[in-house]
Amino acid sequence: MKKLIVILSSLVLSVLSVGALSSCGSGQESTSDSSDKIINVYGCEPQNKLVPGNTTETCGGNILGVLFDELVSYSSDGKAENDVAESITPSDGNKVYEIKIKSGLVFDNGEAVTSESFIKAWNYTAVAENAQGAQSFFAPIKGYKEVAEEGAKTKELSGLVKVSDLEFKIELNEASVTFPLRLGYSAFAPLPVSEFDAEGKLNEGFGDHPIGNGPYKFSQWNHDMDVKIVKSDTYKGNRIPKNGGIDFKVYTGGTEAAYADIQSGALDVLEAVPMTQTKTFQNDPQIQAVVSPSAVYQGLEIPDNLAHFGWDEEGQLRRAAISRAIDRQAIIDKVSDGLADHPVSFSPNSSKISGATDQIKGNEVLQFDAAKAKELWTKADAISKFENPKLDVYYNADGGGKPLLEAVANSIKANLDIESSAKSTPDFKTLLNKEASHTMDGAFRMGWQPDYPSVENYLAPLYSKEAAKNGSNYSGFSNDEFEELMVKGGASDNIDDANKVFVEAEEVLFKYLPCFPLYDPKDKGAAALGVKGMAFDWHGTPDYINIIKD
Amino acid sequence: MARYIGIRVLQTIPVVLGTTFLIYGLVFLMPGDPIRAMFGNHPPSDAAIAVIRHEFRLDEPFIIQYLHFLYGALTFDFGKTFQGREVSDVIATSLPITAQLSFLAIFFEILIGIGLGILTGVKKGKIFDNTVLMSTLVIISIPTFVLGFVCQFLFGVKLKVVPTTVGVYVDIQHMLMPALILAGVSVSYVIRLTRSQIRDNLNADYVRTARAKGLDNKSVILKHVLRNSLVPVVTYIGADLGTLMGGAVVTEAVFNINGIGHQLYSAIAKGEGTLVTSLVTVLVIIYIVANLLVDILYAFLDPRIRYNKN
Repeated sequence: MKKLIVILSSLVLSVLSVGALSSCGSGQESTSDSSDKIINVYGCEPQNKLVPGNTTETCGGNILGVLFDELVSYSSDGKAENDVAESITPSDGNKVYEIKIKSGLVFDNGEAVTSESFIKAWNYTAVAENAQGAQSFFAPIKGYKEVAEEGAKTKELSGLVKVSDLEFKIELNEASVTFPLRLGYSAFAPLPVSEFDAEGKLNEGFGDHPIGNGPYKFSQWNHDMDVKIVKSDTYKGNRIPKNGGIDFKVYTGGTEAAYADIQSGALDVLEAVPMTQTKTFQNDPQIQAVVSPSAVYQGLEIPDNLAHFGWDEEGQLRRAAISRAIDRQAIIDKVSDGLADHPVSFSPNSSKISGATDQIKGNEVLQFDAAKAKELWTKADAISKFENPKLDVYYNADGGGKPLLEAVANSIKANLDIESSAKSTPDFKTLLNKEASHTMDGAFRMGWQPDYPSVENYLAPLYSKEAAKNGSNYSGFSNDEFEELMVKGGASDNIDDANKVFVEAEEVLFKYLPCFPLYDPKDKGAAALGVKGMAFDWHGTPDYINIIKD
Repeated sequence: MARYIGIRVLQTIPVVLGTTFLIYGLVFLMPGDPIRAMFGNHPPSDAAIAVIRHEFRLDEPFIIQYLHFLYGALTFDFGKTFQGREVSDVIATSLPITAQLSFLAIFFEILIGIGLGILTGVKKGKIFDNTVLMSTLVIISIPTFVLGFVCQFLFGVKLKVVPTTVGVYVDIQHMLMPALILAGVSVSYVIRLTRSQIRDNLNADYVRTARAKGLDNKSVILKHVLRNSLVPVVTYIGADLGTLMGGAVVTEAVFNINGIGHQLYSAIAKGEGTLVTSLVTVLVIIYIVANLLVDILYAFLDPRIRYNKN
């Protein structure tokens, strides 16, 4: 018996000692005025080390977005404004851009931001052997093919030319009036020249301790726990922070636990509301709810490898029939709890997105009309009879798309009288594999998170021939008229003219319907009581620099 | 005893080899391309993807990949995660957190489980006994995540008596509620197990003998009945330690605890074969050690159980 007591008490002691050893770090910072306060925001573990050119997902992207400053930055209403750039001057019909950098800007290690900082960083990202995730962002720049593909001999983009310490030239493959809009994406960030070796390789440890030129300075990264950043004292750009720093708390199990922390005040800002709370969060007295239109596009894509759904007249009629058969408003009310808008185009109809409009010929095909749907379907049958008609819709079981896709399938089934059911793949990567290899035997959901606030970014990456080879065109859509319009739009004199041409390109899409817009979602967020200034920026990230707490 | 332990340790070798082979094979067979999935809608060029595939040896046949993993594991080099972290670093940071949670839960199992088990076993049929039995039934019936969310909302959000989640604060104060929730179902089983064992033993001959010798009730219960009743309870708790170390995924998610359960879950989701297999190997070893400890404990509890054949 004594032995048993000894064992039991040693167990107790071991439990207590583990606790004592690790119970550090819970101290609170001393109170002072709000501009020094650290705000605690929801975060998730970055997929890769914190390198701008290797990050295209939001966990790392949200952090890098405020650690680095690019040539342009986006205001809260989505306008691109010069930031690191003093001026961006187009020439040769928008095919060449001359960049002038503001003088006196520095990285957090004191190094000056120069044209070399951009050229080295961009070359590094574009070269294939460096295997950087954001490589494809440099595809418009001349010389991309020579560095990005198998057996590349050169390691420098020929389109990037240094003019002086503060000036460089970018030459593009094709004229693009929207190119400067893209330059605010974090993949285009400059990196300190001292962090590269003679071969042009970035130092191995850079991603563990990134040195940026942005509003905040990297402080500490405890993997799967938190990433701490503090206000940079050398920053002189457009986005001066109102708080003292940000602590990105990592929530490994999703947003439910984070929501409870918002309610109890342990967390200040949450950029997504868990599905269990979407019905109630706007009336929750223990939080501040934030809802605003999202930049995310949500559609349903029918790949052209499905019989009867090609790009010929029959396929067009069938696609239009399916689109007409989907009762979008009912789906929005039931599945999204009304927190979405009826779509009008191939991008969300938001004032923050350059070129978004509801004035597009042919967009009436998005209106629910069961009689019209049947009529179109019968017309298609007259061209070529569809025996045992069937259209299944796919979602990935790990992504929460089930209720939406089931509603879509029911809508198609009820209004067109054809077989349709919602089917799932076990996870996102399986779905993606089937989409990319054109082996999907049904329609699937397409969610698109844009990289820059222009309607062009919702069109070229999803429907162009280039994107079918190496990108996100999973429907297999290939249309010369669309291609020409995209080129013509890019070659316009100014953005307004370009946007008019992009509307024409959307009209082509409405004719063929490679994808149907399903709904325009909203960004849903929450802030703890006592937090001020929580709002979403143009692409659904909390506007971290303006958030303060008492 | 030493020989017995030696044999048991040797037995772990084929078990570890077998499990790692199976797990590595299963991850290999999972559908979807983990590298392509990392990039979502922004894939880099095929040449760049090939570089990454080569870095993680995903371009080689299964058996080569597995043997390479095995060779690495033998030299304590488990390789790197897709993120670029050392796998051993992932284990070293997440294992202590899970260990703390599990030991705290086991502590509650012993304290509450055996304590209430003795009391209910002795006071059979009384109101106290019935109340405890009913409560355990309720706890067993409620899924852990429901219990977790309800307690989190009630005690964390509404009453504000305990923190809502753990996150970066890995200490007793923050771990208390998660450990209690995690232990909940097991505590209920331990109570019931101890209670029925005590009741069986109370009717045994040796108890009557002890009482006839004039021993007081307290000594009879604690020295004779309890000791004999604990063998199955210790088996249960020992096996539970192994389960808790690897299977607290739900509790870890509800309370945002960055333990081994979460690591395993996300590694499977990302299709990271090396990480999954390394984590499972660690869990298998823990399971085996926990079982070994239980077997050794038997000898202390029941002198009739001996491991030397001669």
